[in-house]
Amino acid sequence: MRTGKRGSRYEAAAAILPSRLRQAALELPAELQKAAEELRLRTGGELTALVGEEEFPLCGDVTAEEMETLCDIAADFSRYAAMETLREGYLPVRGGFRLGLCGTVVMKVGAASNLRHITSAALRIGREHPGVAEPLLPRLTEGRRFSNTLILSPPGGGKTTLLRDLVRLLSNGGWRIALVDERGEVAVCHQGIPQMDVGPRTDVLDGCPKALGIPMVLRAMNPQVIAVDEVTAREDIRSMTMAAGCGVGLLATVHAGSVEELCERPLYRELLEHRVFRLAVCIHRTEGQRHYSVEELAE
Amino acid sequence: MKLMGALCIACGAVWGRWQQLSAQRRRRETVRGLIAALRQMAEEIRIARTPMPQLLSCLGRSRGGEAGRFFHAVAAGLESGHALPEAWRLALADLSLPDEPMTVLRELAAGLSGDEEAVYRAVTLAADALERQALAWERQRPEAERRGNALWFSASALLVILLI
Repeated sequence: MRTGKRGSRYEAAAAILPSRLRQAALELPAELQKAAEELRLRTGGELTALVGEEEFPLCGDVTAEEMETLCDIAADFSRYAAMETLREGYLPVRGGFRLGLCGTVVMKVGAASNLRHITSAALRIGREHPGVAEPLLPRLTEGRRFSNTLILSPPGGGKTTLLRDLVRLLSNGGWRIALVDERGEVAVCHQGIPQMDVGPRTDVLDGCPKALGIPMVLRAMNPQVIAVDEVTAREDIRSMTMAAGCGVGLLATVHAGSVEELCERPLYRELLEHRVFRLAVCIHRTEGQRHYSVEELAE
Repeated sequence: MKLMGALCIACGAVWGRWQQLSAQRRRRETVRGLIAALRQMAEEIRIARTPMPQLLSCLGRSRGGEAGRFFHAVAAGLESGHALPEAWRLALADLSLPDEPMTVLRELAAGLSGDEEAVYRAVTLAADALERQALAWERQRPEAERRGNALWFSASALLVILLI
């Protein structure tokens, strides 16, 4: 949210929890609240706060009813309306949070159709870090030309935060950005208004699958750069390859620990073979601090 | 003077009976409104998958009378941070209906969570139960009205006789 206050983001995340768990979550010391990245719950187990790599226990005996209530609150008591993402194991929560879920998967015709009897939940606390991408920006642009860039890190590494700040900086710098925000985690639109600062010249396509959204914004919005979060499917890669051939800049995030790890994955070979992306920003974590390095992607 | 008194008693009886019939008509209209709203709710959940906050606001706007006010109050409760069952129960407190439909609506509060199947079933069952209740009232209505009219007429006539 535009408050930029990290503690208040934690409080907003805690407000999604059922009342007993909320009280326990708010008892975490303020310093840890500021650094907390996730609230994690396990049915019959504990509610914990993930700070860095460590989980701090907050209270025990999370009940199945509390898990169900958490899902209901997260889905605005409309789980039926969130079925598309629920069957993929997560719920986007109003205010820019994401609730990852584990439970019993209901299969229908070989595909997950529902998630019931929730066993675990991880409430990701999305935050803005304005300026985090500033040192990187000169490496990614040459005059008015943007080098197609992949942001790499393992899950929870801060890819979305970096992507959001890059979008904001490029947009502030006069670039027309089209943001295809499939999971609604980058701009966090509520009733058409981005709740996160993504810059004044950013056009947000919210909730649209990337493979559909990339050609849509390309046709409709005349963007200079298209930004997408979490490229995971072959169709996304095809759409990006097509967009790259149209002279538009691309900025995307991918789950990968390093460039070497990325090269080993067959899914991304097409992107690398076609030289769709020229640069990779790798996020490393040492002693709780994030470090960023820009690497050339070899052919 | 006695004639004047008798006339007043007769007018009072007519007015009292009219009030009673109006209250019954309002009660029937409220239940009919609630049934229609619940049917629309089930349809929106199943077909359009309209999220609950929008759905409740829409029902509050589109339905008139007490049923509309009820859904508006639930939507407002949800907006102010109450959980849906809690907002539903709070709004029920302002609804003036007999015990049977109130019990159906109170039970529905607990059924408004879970997945599509569960919510759809709970809403449909509640609408069916209210419909049965409304049908029973309709069947009993002519008889009840005759009895009511007779009672009010007899009472006022007795008062007039006593007065004269």
